[in-house]
Amino acid sequence: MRIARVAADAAIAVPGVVGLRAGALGLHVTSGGGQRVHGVTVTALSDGRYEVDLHLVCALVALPALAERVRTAVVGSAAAVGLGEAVGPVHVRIEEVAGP
Amino acid sequence: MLLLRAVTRLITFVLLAALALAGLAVAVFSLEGGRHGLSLPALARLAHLPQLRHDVGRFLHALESSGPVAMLSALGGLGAAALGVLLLVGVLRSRRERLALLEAGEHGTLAARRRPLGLIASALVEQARGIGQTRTRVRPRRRGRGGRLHIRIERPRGAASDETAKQRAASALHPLTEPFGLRSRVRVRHGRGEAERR
Repeated sequence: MRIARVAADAAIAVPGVVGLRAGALGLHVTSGGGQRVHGVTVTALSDGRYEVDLHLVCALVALPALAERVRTAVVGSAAAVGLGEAVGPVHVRIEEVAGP
Repeated sequence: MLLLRAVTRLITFVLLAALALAGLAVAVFSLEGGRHGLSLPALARLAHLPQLRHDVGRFLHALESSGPVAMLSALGGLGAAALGVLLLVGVLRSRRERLALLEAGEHGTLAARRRPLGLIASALVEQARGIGQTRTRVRPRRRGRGGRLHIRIERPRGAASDETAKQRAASALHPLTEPFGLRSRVRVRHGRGEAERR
């Protein structure tokens, strides 16, 4: 849950990211401790790390650069709060583009 | 497809819940023997099984002969078969949505859905000079990077030639198609000129 929260906060802080989306069926959600983080799923891997999936809504910007910035921000934020070793692959998926 | 999957999930949930409840009822009514109390004959009476056997028996008898009941039953059977096929499609069809992959490696994947890519492609092309409205369709490969981006542009009369419009559209799309490994295909449609629109 902490990894999901850190990843969501880091992604939202990147310029060009408008929000996170849980999907049409609301499946892309991480729940725990009475909290829900929409648009982020965290999966435990066999090596003890966690795989992070981010589902983003973006502005009309260059997607390749944005996706890379989001991944860098997530990895950096996780490392800053001591979760760097716990975070494995970070998957960034552009779900929607918000109008200008 | 989304609706089909949702219906399949709902029916699966309802059927599993019904099966669980039926199993629980049978388990509880197996606690005692005899014909009363928590026994299976008592459960059969509660569920009106004798009455049901009587009604279904009459219906099955009517089915054996030709007539409206048989026709209704055949239609119902066909409908049930069609529904079964649809539910099988909902269950078995690949749930993986085709994504345009930007990068896939040990650090994770960067990908985009088709719709945002199409919107951005339209926005890029419509900024080019001499191009009016556009319609885009993105078809990523099922596996790996790459795919096709079809775009239909409207060229107002009096604007640049078809070839020039295609070149402008292709170069406007390049910042999007190159990183995603998409091959663009541009088609030109002749629109009305500004004077005619007025």
